[in-house]
Amino acid sequence: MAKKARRQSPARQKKRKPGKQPTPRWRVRLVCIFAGLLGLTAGVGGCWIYAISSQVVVHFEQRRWDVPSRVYARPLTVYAGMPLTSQLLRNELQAAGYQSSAEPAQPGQYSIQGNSYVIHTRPFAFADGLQAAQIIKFQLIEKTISGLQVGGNVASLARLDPAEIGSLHTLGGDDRTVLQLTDFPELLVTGIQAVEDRNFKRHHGIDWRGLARALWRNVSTGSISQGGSTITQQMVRNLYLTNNRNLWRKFNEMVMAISLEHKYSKHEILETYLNQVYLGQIGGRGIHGFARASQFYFGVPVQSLQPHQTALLIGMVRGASWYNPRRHRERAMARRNVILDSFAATGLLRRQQAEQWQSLPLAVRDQPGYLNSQYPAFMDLVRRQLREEYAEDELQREGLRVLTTLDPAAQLQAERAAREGLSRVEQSRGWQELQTGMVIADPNTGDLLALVGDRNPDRAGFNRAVDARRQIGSIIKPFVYLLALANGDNLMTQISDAAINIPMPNGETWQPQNYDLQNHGSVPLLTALIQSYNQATVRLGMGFGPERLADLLRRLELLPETALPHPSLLLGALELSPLEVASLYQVLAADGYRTRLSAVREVLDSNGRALTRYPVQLDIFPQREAIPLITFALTDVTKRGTAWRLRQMLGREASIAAKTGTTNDQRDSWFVGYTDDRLAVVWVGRDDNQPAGIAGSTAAMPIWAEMFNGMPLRNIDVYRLPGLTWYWVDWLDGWVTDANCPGAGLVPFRAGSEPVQWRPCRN
Amino acid sequence: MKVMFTKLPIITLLILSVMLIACSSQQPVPIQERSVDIEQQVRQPAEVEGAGLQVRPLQNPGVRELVSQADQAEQNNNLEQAGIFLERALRIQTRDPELLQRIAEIKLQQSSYEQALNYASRSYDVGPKVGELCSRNWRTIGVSREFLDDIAGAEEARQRSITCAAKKPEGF
Repeated sequence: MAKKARRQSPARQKKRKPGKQPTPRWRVRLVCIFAGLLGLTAGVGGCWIYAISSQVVVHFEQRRWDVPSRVYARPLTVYAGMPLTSQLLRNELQAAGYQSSAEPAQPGQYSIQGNSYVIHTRPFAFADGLQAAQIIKFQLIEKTISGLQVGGNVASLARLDPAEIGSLHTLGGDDRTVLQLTDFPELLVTGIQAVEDRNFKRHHGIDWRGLARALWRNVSTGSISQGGSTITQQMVRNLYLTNNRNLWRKFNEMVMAISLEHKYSKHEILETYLNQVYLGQIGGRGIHGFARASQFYFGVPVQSLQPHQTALLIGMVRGASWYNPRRHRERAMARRNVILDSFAATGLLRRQQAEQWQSLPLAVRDQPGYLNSQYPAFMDLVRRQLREEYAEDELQREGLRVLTTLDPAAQLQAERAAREGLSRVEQSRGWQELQTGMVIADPNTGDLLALVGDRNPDRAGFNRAVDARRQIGSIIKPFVYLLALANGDNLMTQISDAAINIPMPNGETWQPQNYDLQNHGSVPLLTALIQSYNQATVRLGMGFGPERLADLLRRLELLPETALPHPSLLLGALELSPLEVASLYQVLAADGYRTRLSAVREVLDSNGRALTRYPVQLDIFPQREAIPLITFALTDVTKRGTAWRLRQMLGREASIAAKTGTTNDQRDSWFVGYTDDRLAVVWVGRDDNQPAGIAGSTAAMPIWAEMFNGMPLRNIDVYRLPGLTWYWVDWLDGWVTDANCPGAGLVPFRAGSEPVQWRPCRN
Repeated sequence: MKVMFTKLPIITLLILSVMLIACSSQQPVPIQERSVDIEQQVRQPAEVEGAGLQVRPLQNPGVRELVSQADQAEQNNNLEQAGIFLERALRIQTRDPELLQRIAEIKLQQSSYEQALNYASRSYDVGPKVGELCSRNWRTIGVSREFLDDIAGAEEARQRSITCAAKKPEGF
């Protein structure tokens, strides 16, 4: 004690009240420790709260703006006098997710009554401006559009919003469409609050009353069945937390919710929630937000949702898998009806209305409104083209809108031809391992309209349309004749088809032979081309040398600069993909005006501003003046040449320029055909490049015909081909003669290369 | 006099500056900086040169509407927008010579001379080869060649544009 008394200061002794015992030291220490711990907890806790609040804000910002790019088909423009069939239009509307309705009152609906069509389009921001939703009416009379009206007024043209064909995002990334709050329908905005968070407008992130109510119910039922989470808390959970239900997670969620409410407006929070909430799964990707879910389950834009559809989606917020309407119809129906009851209870719908909607089926489409596995070959090409201009990250996160050239109706036809046509060829030939690559393009604009890279067009992987490079065989021949015609020859110039021997640098001799192993003597160039004679073609080509053909191919970027041309190049000893062959023939089909084949028209940012346009660029081909002669000759191929059965296969009269191609040992079957507005290439063969027992006219040609069966085509009017003059000539020797002579035919010539010899009819 | 001498350098500098400005004002404007007056260089002279027989291929009403929207955009000096409308029309009627020529004229105003030349050439190939359109084709080709430094080609195009006039047959 004496020691203690010594250590106490006099001042302290003075302050001590008389009769009061001094505080025990252990209590002082305890208070100090407690205060220290409290301070430490407050410090650490404060830091923790600050850290998680910051994190949730970062996540919130990311989720608001992290949107994959959407890819669209080309918009269908309809105009008075446009050739169109009912089937093609239906395919087009189906691809674009339009729904049939007796009264198309909502955007995204259409009706067909007899030959009258009504289409209620959806709004879309094009590069030339925002196009509002509009009602288009017309009749289809004799496969032609007439009586076109837009919004009740007579119109000369109208444009539908394009079909969405996919999105560009990372594997396993989420799929969503971001809308502004004002773009969501009112029933959805009010309904979600009525069901999930009735006090949303008033609380600051946590609804204490709701929480107490949920707690009481949980205690009284003895289970954790109600969470009492506000919309803000749910969004925090979606953004950042797991679905574990424990107190620590709940605490963090509450802190984050308060933090978000402090930083953002109710408007921003609700908008992000509606765009973010999890509503389903396709493969490895989550379906997020009501806009995407609306497309995914009903194939319509969110603005077109009916009340019972809105109710189903709101009901699915509680458990998108549990209430999945495709897997658990009854469960989803029950949940939807509970939500409709809730709408009635809160005055959003009248009771009678709610009951009417409850009586309706779910109206969920069997297949998602769009499938990202659709058109894998075309989407692959779109990605490749975009990568030339955009970083992968930009494409996956910045919500770009990519307007492509895909024609959904043409694509559907091509896919059907690939499936059915190939099976038929296999049945007749006894092969089971054939594969195909197909391309349809508009040769004048370079638009790629359809692309098939596999006999099963939904299968992604090796894209044969782009990557399968095979020998092209006789497909090259028109270019050999083009060079001759550009050099002053005409179609009636005689060429010998006798056997030919070409000495090679290694001392050997190359002896090309005709397909029928016959020599045909002296024939006009026209005959040699349309009958695809090898000996005549090689003789003609050797006249100017294979180097000239190599130059032509180099100009089209189809042959490397360093490649040494072998005479066999004249017979197509060159490996090209179907897309490259389309690029080769585009020059012919567009009268010598080369344009790049493209899968993308333009890229818009999320506000509809054009970032990149791919305008139609023309390049004049040096031999363009002789090209109309080749087009004429190739139309003759389908009349009396190697493709004479094409019109029979098509089942109609058509003026089509075409060329067949068959390679050694019948490994590859090629067919290229074009009209004024379409160019299509079909390759058929085996992946292992083994003999397949097929020729151009027996495999690729029937598939080509199947592809264009029922599709309107603008026939080639040979008499309107540019720069040609016409003479009656004797088929045998090419002399000009009279029209009424036996064996006389009307043949075109380039100005300056007309025949000069005339003679009367041969007797 | 002293004042005169002290100010001499300044006066000399002023005179030199004036001379320099005068000289520089006589320098030709670099060819890339010149712009095309489409009315003065193509459309108005073609109207005169191509007088006489006119062959106007029928135009689809939808194409006509888009061309009219393109005209409006061009008048508002929005050439990009005009180009978009014309390209939409091109997808409807791919070989319309009038349409191809209009695209050529937009390209010319956008200083895309090679494309202007190619579109005008395509228009000529599929066009009537007489009358005003023919003259616009060759005038566009001529102006484009001039900008592409093909002086001989430009002169040849000028001569071709004169030959576009065709007399109406008697009794027409």
